Amino acid sequence: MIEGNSPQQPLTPAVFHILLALADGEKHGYSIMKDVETQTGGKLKMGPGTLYGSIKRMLAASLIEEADERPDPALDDERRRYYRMSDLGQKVLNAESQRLEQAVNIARQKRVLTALIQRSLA
Amino acid sequence: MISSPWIENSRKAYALLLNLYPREYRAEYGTAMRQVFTDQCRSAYQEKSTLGLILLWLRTLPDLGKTALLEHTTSPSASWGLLEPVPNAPLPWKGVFLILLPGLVYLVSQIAQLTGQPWYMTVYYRAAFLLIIPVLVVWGLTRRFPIWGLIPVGLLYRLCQEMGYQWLLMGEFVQTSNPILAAIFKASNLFQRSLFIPDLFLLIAGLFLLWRYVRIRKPTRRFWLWLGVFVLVVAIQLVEDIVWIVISFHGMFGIDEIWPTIESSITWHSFEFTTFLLLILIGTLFTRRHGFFAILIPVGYILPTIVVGMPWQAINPTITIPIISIAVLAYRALLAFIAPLWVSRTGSQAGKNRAVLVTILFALGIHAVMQFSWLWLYPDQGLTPQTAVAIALGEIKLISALILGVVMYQDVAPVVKATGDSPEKSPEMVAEKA
Repeated sequence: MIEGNSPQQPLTPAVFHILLALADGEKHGYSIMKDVETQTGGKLKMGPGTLYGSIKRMLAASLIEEADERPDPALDDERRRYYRMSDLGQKVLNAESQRLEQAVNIARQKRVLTALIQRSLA
Repeated sequence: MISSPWIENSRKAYALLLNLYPREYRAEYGTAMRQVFTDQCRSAYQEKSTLGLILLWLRTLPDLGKTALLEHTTSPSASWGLLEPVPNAPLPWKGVFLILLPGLVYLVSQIAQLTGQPWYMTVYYRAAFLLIIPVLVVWGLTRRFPIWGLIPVGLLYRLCQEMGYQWLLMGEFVQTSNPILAAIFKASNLFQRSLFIPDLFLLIAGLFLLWRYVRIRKPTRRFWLWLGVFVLVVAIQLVEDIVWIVISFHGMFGIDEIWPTIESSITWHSFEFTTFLLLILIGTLFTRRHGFFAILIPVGYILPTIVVGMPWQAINPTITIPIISIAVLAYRALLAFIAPLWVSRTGSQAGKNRAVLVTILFALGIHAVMQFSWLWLYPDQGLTPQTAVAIALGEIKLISALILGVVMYQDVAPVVKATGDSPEKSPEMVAEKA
């Protein structure tokens, strides 16, 4: 069970996908944004306002932490702020993923997913 | 790395638009947001050239507007000036405007008085009841007492004190068309047999707040000095009054017959002393949230003090009346406009002290001179030494109480939400927790 000042679940899509983006290591803002876009097949395109607003609230809720500031050689030589997931963030992500998994299982049991797949195949 | 004038101009435009976010947010995330937007621009331009940039702008602008609004409404400083003061900085103009509003009502009514409008008396006797309503509504909804409610508290307190005077003076003969006030007067008349009982309640409340203040704030020597001056002046006024009663009625009536007059004098002075001291002490309850701005309560209290002017023209149509009216207008302007404006827009404590002391001393100077205005209206009535002493003592009492307020409210930093979620702790909070 998640305690402390963690955000209420379900998480907002932006927060969930940012956590998911940070699941495989620390990233800077643009890198998080691109990762989220890839995860969602381009359906969730965050602007800088949404991205840093979410980051601010996630830092306040201790879901993520700031890592060292350094340049990204793939982009340019400007120093960038990197973020990584905290232990609490990991727990929240696990809990949210389980919640979604349960929801998907229920959807399967009720044949909602099957119907969707059939409809998309047809 | 891709570069183009379109990208460069978009970057500059976005940097300008970042000014829509709150200052603290910009300081924290502005550079990173600009970097991310530049990266987005390069990517969009690489994929679809200028069209890509246009599509990016169409996506970015609503995001920018929505999140800027969100940051403004959720920022800890969003309520600064509207509900709370900004610590160690001039109050934003939105807050200054709201602070000035109640005083301006009185100032406008004074101007109306100069033009012979009779409704200024309605403002004088009724405005405090109406001005407190929005304050109570906002307090109830937000659980935070707004900074612009301090002057209305002083005004309302003054009105309640006036009603108390009337009740002490006339008891069951007080007439009012207001059913709520009538019920209060009727209930309070149950105590009328002993006037000391309400005085005692007020004194207990005053002593409790004094004890609380001394326990929490560890007062300085200046506090005891000005409290001493205030108590001494009240004591002198009381003794002088009793001596005058005894001398005036000596030989004409026995002590049993004089006693009710002496009792009435004690009750009167006691009421005035306790209510005034209570006003200053009530201000300390507001310093936790509003710091030195609590001084606006006594400012609101003395704001409607003088009510003379043009309507008296019927009695004495000389040049004296306009002069008195202008003096009263100056008094009102000092307290309603200059004092709150100066205090609000000054950042330092020393500056705020200066603003309050200069404006209040000027205003009380006018007040003192106005105490003699009846001599100009009725020159045939001479000024007795007793009257002059009584007026001087009254002014010293006012000044000492107000300086006491300045001493008590200064150097108390208002508690505000810091940039994180943990509020700073004031000495009051620490002591209360202990």
